[in-house]
Amino acid sequence: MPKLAAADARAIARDYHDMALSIGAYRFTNWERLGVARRTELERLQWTLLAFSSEMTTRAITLAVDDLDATLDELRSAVKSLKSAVKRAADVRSLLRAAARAVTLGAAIVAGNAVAIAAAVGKGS
Amino acid sequence: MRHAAWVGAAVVVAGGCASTRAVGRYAKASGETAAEFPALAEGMTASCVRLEGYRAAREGSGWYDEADLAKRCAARERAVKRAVAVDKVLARYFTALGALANDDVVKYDVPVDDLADALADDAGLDAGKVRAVSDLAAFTLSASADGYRHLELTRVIEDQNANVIAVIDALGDIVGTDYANILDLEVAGMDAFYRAALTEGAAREPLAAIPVRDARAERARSLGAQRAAVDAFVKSLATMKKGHQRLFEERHDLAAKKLAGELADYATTLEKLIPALQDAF
Repeated sequence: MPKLAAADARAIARDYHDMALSIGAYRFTNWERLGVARRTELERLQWTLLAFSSEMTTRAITLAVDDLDATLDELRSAVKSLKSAVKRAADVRSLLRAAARAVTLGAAIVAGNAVAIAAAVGKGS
Repeated sequence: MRHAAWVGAAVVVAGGCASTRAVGRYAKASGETAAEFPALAEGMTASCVRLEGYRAAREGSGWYDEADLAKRCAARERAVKRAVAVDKVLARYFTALGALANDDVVKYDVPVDDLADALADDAGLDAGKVRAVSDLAAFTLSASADGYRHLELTRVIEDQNANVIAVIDALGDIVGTDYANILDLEVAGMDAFYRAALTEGAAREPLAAIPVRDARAERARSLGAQRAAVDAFVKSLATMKKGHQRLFEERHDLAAKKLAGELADYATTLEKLIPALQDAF
């Protein structure tokens, strides 16, 4: 079974940090146009992605390796693809969709849920 | 004649000790640098608490207390304890190395009883890194208990170099990458918190916005100081690593003048970096 080593956790943590920053930048750039409900939704996603990044960083510090059901290449590729989708989102709907998928994948990785990781990787790539 | 032979032998022993004085100074500076890590590492947990505080203030009811935040950062606290335990092993190794170089008895100020707890009961640990830490810890215990002597300095350096390098690299990744990432996360959380609060309320209450801006600026300054300390510690680890690698390469001639000069430079670099570590925390 593939292992999620500290180096992989670090790379994923950085990607989730970057996704959170992209969402924040979009939120503040389009503050007036978005309206309260959309702003709140984006802010919630931003904090969730920051929390996942923080969690993955903590895992890297523990010198731990986690078992994975998906291959590391699939996982890394899915995260990269989501990061790109969040960064290049043309409108708020596509941003929300990509961010929600990133949250699903992040939750699966943090929970170590192999089935959910595999499912989320399928959706993300 | 017999008396002269004894005097000669005494001079050789004393001379050997003096000639490895540079090793002792390098080891002392390395040990003192490693001893600064626990205070630095505590900052990783404190940063998690602040990040969670910003998050809690913006999400849900906005109500939270210290216990809530500590609970959210319990995993980080455990991870930091483990990293500190690993660092203590490194500090003890350099204490032992310094004592052997100076022909002193190996004694430690800091116990590492928490290492076993920190590394136990976790099947998910990286076996290679754990082995390096465990082997180094085993040496530090036997160096003290079995009465290692100055003459064994070469063998100790030879046996432990790979473990020392592996432990320094592991700490280097934690401080150089993870700590830096932790500070980036806190900056992201801090900016999200303050920018949202100011965007929502600054126009309505301009006077109230002033202390909010000041608080953010103060926090940003403090994070800048922590980042400088993190950079200083990463440089220190790189210096320790270079020094030990040179010791390993020259282990059969530890009294060589060229090596002594290099070690003196490494020790000076470390001694200069220590205040930067102490100032930030």
